[in-house]
This record gives sequence, C-alpha cells and structure tokens, in this order.
Amino acid sequence: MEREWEYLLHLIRCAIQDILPDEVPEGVDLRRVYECGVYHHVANLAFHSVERLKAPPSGELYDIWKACRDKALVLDFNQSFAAEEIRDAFSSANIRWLEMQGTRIKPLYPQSDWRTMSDIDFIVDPSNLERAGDILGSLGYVCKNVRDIEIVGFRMPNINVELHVGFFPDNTIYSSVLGDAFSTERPIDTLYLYNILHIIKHYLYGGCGIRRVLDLYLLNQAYGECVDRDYVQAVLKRVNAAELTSELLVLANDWFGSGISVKNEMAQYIWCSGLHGNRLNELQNRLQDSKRNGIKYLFERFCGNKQVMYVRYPILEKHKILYPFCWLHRGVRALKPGKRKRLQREIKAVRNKKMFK
Amino acid sequence: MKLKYKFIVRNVGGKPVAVAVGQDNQKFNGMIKLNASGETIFQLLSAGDISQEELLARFAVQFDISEETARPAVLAFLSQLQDNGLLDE
Repeated sequence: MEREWEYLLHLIRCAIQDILPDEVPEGVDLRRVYECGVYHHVANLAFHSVERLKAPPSGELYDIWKACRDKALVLDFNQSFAAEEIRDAFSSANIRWLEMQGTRIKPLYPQSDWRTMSDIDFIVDPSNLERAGDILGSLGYVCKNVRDIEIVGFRMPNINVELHVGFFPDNTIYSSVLGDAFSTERPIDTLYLYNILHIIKHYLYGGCGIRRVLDLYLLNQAYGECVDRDYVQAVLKRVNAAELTSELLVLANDWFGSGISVKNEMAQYIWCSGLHGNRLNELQNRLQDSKRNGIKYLFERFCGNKQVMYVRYPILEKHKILYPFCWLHRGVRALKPGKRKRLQREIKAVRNKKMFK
Repeated sequence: MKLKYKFIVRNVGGKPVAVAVGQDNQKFNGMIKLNASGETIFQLLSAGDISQEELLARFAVQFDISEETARPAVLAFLSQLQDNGLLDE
C-alpha cells in the first residue's frame, strides 16, 4: 500500500506542476491508487496525470476513474453557479458576507474542479443570519437552523450551503484569535491564518487527508510571501499551533514541491486519516506489513502521536510527567458515544482474524 | 427555439464543456463536450428564443462563412440536441 500511496502523491504533484508523470512503477496496483485517491478526495485531480500516461489504465478502472473526474466537474459547475446566485441575492438584500474556505481555495488550483467542496460556506453578520436563511429558502434550499449560530441548506441534487456567523464556533480555542470577521484590517493575513487554523483543527480531530495538505501547499505558494510573518507566527503561537504548522508546511513542500517521499509519523497519520472503513483497511495493512501485534497497535492509537498530544495538552511540552493524566483524559473522551463506537470497531478488527486477508 | 435547460459553458483543459446548472441539473445531470462551433451554437441558443434562420445567419457571421456552407453542420448539431431532448422549439 505504501507504494500506491507514493505514486498517488506523484500523480498529484505532476498535475499541480503540469509535468508528465512517470509510468506506473512495477508492482503498483493502480486500482488501489484510485481507491486511495477517492478516499482522500483527490482521485479526480490525479486523473489529469493518469490521462497523460503513455500506458493509461484501460477497461473498467479507466471508466470509473473518468466518471469520478466528470462527476467532480459537474459538481464544480453547479457549485460555482449556486455560489454566484447566493452572492447576487445577498448583494441585492444588502447583506454583508465573507467567503473564507473552499471558494477561496479553489482558485489556487490550476483547475477549479480539481478542488472538490462538500459544501459552500459563507460568513454573514449574526444580525442577518435569519434573513440570509430566508434568501436561501427563496432560492430553493431546504434550510435548518443550528443553535442560532449557523444555517445549513440543501438543494437538489447535491448543493449544500452553510451560513456561519464567525470564523470558528465559540466553543473552540480559535474562536477569538482572528477577531471579528467583518472588522479585520489584515484580509490576506486573516485568510491565510484562517485556512491554516482550519487545517490544524482537522489534523487534531481527525479528517486531515492529502487534500488539506495540498491546500496548505497552494495557500503558502500564493500568500506565503505576502503575509506579515511576525503577525502570523504570533497568532499561531497563541493557540500552540506554530510548530505543527511548520511541520505540515515542510511535509507539504516535500510532497508537492520537491517530490520527496516522506514516511514519518505525520505522513502516516495523514495517510490513515478519515473514514472508519479505511482506517480499518489501513490497520489491516499496517499490521500485515509490519508484523506488529494488535495490542501494540491499540496502545499506540490510545496514546496518540507526539504532535497531537502537544497541541491538545500544551502543558506536556514542559511537564512530560503529566502524560499519564493526559492519557487518562484521552481515555475518558474515548468513552463518548461516537468515539466509543469507533474504538469498539478497531478493537474488534484487531481481534477478528477474518478481517485480515 | 431555445435550450430546454440553463447551461453554463466553460473552458476545461482547453475545451468547452456545457453543464446544466441550478435546479435544471436534476433534470439533466451530465456534461456536454463541445467543439468551437458547438460552443457558438450553444451560446446563441442560451441568449434566448431564436429562429433557426437567425441562428444560421449569426453563426455564419461568427465564422466568416456563407450560410450555405454553415447549414449542414448547424442542422446536424441542432438535430443532436433535439434527439437528446435538449431543445425547446
């Protein structure tokens, strides 16, 4: 699986850099490359390189990969149209809005459809949230108010919209660090920081796959030289994210800039990040590849990697003696209903020999 | 005549592609790859109701050819749109 992973990264890098990819290395299962791409929401992007191979895949694999690319393309058209509709409607109603996520990241990609979005996000004035929701309703969206801090809307066949009232929810450590969304005097610094913090949030709490690392790479390419570095570092240090950001940037540059194959703990964490089904597959592969036993795997999962522990528990950097208490806290959190089910699935996977080929 | 659905045409990888958008995407959830002449016909049909003769005239001007030269290609394309249920006459 590791070679498939490396080849997927190679295909993505070649697409981003507009260079011809190397032909499929011997022993690499291209179907698994495709599956890894789907899992990380980059299969459509990787297809651009696949089409340029001297010997592209044929038959069913080519067809499904192409269909994946076409589906992303159709969605991109529709999301662009939907976003424009909403902007026009907000303008007509004198509602201020900001876009800070996918619609701002997409233009950094060579082709807009290469960067898929699960939804379109807008930030609006809290006082205008209800009116903004009514506007979505008038455009055909079925809307739901979530605790008066956001509205989620859906329109057939597949357009999801989210309206927020601030950069981050109040119950996160990032909620106040960027100030008021509509009062910033540093729009580029704020955009850069917002997306970094968003990526960090996902890294810490699961769901940081290849695509977010690629976002980080392109974000840094576009804005890295323009931002006020002292200001950016100061903000990242306030939320104890400076070191992690720096390490992620190095990884991003290695993967998508210089094309260096990196197999460190961070790389593996990102590789495994995401849906439980794939986590179980990865568990299977890692246990088979390394011949480590299940108990050791579960111990490592329970204890977490160093980066995650240092950001979630900043006190550990100076007081490593507190590790057992932090592990205890982590264990208690793992007993929450959603996390407990995931933990049970992983324990079952280790016990159940039928999970292994 | 005009297009039955609202389409957006964009250049993707150097080639024009048309996709039905908004609520029309539920009725036609696919994409159409066009060439230069197809893109022109699409744009003319998207602008509003247009007669076949007017479309032919504008197409001929756009490509700097006679209407007689343009006629077979234009009619063939319109026929394809009709066969796929994309034309409102």
